[in-house]
Amino acid sequence: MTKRILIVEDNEDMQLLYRRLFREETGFEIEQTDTGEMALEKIPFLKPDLMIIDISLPGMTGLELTKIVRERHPGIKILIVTGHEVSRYYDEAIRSGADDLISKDVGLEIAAECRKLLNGAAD
Amino acid sequence: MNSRTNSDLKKQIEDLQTRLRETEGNLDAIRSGKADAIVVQTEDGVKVFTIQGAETAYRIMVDNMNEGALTVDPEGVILYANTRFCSMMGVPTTYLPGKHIQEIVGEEFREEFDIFLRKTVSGGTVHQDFVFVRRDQSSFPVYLSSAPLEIAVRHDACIIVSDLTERKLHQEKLVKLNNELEFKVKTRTHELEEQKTALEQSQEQLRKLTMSLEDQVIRRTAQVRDLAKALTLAEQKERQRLSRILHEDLQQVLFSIKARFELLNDVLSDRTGEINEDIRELDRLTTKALDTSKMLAIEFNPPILRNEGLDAALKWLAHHMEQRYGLKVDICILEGFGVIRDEERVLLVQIIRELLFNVVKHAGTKEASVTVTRKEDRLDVIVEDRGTGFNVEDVKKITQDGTRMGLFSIEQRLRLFGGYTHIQSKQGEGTRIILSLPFDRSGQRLGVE
Repeated sequence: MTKRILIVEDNEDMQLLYRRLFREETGFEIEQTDTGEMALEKIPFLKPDLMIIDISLPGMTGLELTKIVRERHPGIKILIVTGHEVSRYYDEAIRSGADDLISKDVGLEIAAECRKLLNGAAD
Repeated sequence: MNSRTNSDLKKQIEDLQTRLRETEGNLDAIRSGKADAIVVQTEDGVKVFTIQGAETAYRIMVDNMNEGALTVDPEGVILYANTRFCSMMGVPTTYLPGKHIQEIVGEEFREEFDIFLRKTVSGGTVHQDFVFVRRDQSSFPVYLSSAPLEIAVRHDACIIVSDLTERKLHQEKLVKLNNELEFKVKTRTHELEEQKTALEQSQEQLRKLTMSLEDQVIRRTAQVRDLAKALTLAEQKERQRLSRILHEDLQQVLFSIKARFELLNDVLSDRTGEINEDIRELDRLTTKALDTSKMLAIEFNPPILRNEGLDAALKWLAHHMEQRYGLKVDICILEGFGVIRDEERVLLVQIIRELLFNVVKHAGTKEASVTVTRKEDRLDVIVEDRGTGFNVEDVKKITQDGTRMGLFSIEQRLRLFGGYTHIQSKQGEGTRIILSLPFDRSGQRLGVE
C-alpha cells in the first residue's frame, strides 16, 4: 500500500535531494511544501501518513509545526530532520510530539527510517 | 563825796573792758581775714559793709573765669555781668548791668526763661539750654546753670553761662562727618553686596557648569557603555548570521553533495574499484567539509548563548571544550543568583571561551576550572589552570589577532561594561584570571538563572 509522505523543507537543494532519494523507492508518494503554514493547509486534503519536517523553517519553526500537527492530526507520523547535532534537539523534538529526530546526514537511509516509523504504525 | 561811787566806776570800767575785748576780737577777725563784712546799726537801719580785702579774690576769679557769669534780681534786671559774658555778648562791661535780661534772650525762649528765673529765685538749681541775642541781632546757643543768691534780705539769681556755639559747631561737624561716614559705609556695603551677588552668581554658574560637565561625563560614560553593549550584541548577531549562512546554505549544499555521492556510489557499485575509491574519497572530503562547517557554525553561535542562563552556558562550554579539544573544565558556581542581562552573559561566555582556548593553546595542561562567585556589589568569574604560566606584562601587549582576543582586549571590553580583570600568573605556576562585573546601576542584579 502506497504511503503518502509530506516533506516540509524550504531549501531547494534538499528538496531535489529528497525527490531523488525517494525516486527509486517504491511504496511512497511524495509531496513537498516550503513552510509550516502551507503544510497545515495541505494536510486535510493530502492526508499524509508521514511528515518529514526540517527543524529550521522560515516563519513557523519545525518544532512549532510538529506541536500543531500532533494536536490536530494525531495519526500522522512525524520525523524531524536537523542539520545540527541530534543530541541537541532530540528531547525537545520528542516533547513536541515528533516520533523521531534524525540528522540530514542520514542520506540514503532516510527511506529506511520512514519505513521503520510507518511499519511501527502498521504494527 | 562824788556822785559816782567807786562801785559805779568799777562797773563802768568793766563795761568798757568788755567792749574793748569785743572790739579787739573784731579787729583780729578783720585782720586775719575771717570776717568779710561788718554789720553796722546806723540811723538809717542796719547796713552791711564788705571788707575790700576779702572780696577781691572772688571778684578776680569770677571776672576772669572762662564761663560767663551774671547775677539777676527777681525781676530780671542784670545786676552784674562778668567780663567773659560781656565778651560773649560783644558789649562793654558797663553795658549790661541795669538792663533786663529778656532783652538778650531769644524771643521764642522768653516764656521759658521766666519760668527758669522764678525757679531759681525760689531756691532751685536749674540747668537749661537757651539762645541769647547780641546787639547786632546775631544769636548764639547757651547753656545756663543757675543758683539762688541770698544776700541779706534779697533773693537774686546767680547764672553761669556756657557758650555752646563751638560745641554746636563741633556737634554739627560730627553729625556731618558721621553722615558722610554712614554714606560711605552704605555705599561700600552696597558695593560689597553687589560684588557678593556677582560672586554668588559666578559660583552658581560654576556649579551649574560643573554639574553640566559631570552630567556630560556620566552621559558619555553611559553612551560608551551602551555602545559597548550594542557592539557585543551586534557582534553576536553577526556571528549568528554567519552561523545561519553556514547552517542554512553551506551545510544543506554539503548534505546534498554527500547524499548524491552516496547515490552515485550505489549506482556505480558494479564498476571498478577505482571509481568507487574516488567516490569514497569525495564522500570523505565532503564529510570533512560538513564537519568543518558544523564546527564553524557552533563556534560562531554556540547554541547556549541564545536563551539559557550563564550556568547552562558554562556547562555546555565545558562539554564542548572537552569534546573538541580534550580540555577538562571543572565548573563551580558558588551561590545562587538573579538574572544576568543578555549582553553581559554573551560577553562573559565569549571571554571565558577565549581564555579556555588560551589554556588549550599555551598552558600545556588538560585541566582548567571556572568558578563563579558573588560579592556584595559584583559578580566574579575566576578562570584558573595549573599550566606553564606566563609573564603578565608581556602578554598584555598582544593585541587582537583575527578572531582571538588578547588579554589586553579582554580587559578593555570588560572595562566598557564597568568591570575589570585581575591577572595572576607566574612561569611554571599556572594562571588565575578574575573577571569582575559590577551590579547594573538600574538596580537589576547580575547573576545566573
